[in-house]
Amino acid sequence: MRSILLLAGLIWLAGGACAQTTVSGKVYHKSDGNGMPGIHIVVKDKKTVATLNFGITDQNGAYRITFTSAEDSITVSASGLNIGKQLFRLANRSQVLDIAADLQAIRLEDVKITPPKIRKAGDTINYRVDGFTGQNDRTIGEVLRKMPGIEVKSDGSILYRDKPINRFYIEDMDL
Amino acid sequence: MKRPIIALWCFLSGCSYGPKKVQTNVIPADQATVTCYYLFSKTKEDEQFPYRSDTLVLDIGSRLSRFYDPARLSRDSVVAARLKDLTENAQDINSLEVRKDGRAKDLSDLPGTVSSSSDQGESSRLYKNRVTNHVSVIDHFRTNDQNWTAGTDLFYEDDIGKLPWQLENVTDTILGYTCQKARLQFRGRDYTAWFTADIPISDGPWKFMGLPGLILKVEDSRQLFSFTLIGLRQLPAPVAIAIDKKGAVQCSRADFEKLKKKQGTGLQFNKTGGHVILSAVPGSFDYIPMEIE
Repeated sequence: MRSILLLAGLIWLAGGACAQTTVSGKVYHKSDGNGMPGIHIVVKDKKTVATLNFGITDQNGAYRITFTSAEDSITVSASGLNIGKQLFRLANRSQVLDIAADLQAIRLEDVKITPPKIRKAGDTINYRVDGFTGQNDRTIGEVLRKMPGIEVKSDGSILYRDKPINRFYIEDMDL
Repeated sequence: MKRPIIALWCFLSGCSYGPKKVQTNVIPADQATVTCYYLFSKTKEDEQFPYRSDTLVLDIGSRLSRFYDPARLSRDSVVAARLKDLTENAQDINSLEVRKDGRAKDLSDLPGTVSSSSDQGESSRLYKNRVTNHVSVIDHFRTNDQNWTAGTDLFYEDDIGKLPWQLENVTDTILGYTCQKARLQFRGRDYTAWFTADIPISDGPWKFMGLPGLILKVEDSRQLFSFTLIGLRQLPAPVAIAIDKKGAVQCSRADFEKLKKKQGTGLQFNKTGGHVILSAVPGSFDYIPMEIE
């Protein structure tokens, strides 16, 4: 009997050292009270360095996140494409956190794509001319000289890898 | 007893009972507000450099997203349009040459050849629902043992559920965004993903979703498959996303993958004067699935 009590005590102690905490609640529109799905809820430690766990609100705007932390407080953030980011500093205990969100469109930084300067299709190599054009280039010869593998002779003939080119197209014009 | 009551309610409220039932089969469309461009590189086992890289597009709406290869789809649609024209305007054809298997030849030197090769780009389109964690995959099949023109659209529904991502407190910067590392075991492969909380969209390339931020890069541990974000655009006007399954036949994921493996090398079409050549793309096509379970 005594050993069982001791065991129970040990389990209680072990449980106390790394107790699981559950934060749950709902994200809703500040104006009409409707739940907002797809909002990211991230639980981080006190210094907002380590992510403890995360959740995404369901169709009704509800979320439930369970995590383990020995610290006395945690940081909860709510973010989405159509709401402003919100941060909450909370005590590390299981609790209900309902979040009223304001509609606010987020402006993302565009990432521009640069097409490759050289492209090979069958036996034809395509160079993107504006990828090689500098501000001071006046003739096509000056641009051609910069393209890898191409050599422009003083007599005006064009060589590719030391072989004369018999067909030469610029922007689909046969020269 | 219930039915007459519903009918009466419908009568009173002025709505019809019939069309309501049909609407449950219609997949609600969404509007994309963000478009992402991913470079998808495939590398063969024990090789250092990718054998193929394509730019795939992810259109993201509030719940739905669409993932596809626009270049491959346009090549496929050009070939399909020529084949359709062939069957509809048969009167101006004098001769037809069909080359398959060992007799296949490369027609790319002939002017006016249109072609779509199986090893170039991705023909599957994926539709993801981030709220229900559901993926629909649709593809066009033109298998070797079928008539060329008898192409079929097949799709399968995939309830992948909440993906068991493991977050790691490791950060990196990709394209100016601070990214966090996450790991995932999914259908026989181990993946490492980098996502950014600065873009609060739980989406990513292919079937990947469910992280608290957009996935900017993901690759498997053997580095056979890699997706890297190369472009991002917030659309000035939203673009509709509708799941178009018109004329498509539903199958299982296993059957779908079996057909993917069986697909031919691709098709070339050339019409010069009244002479038409249809030829398979020469060589062989080796399909390496991402899902091995």
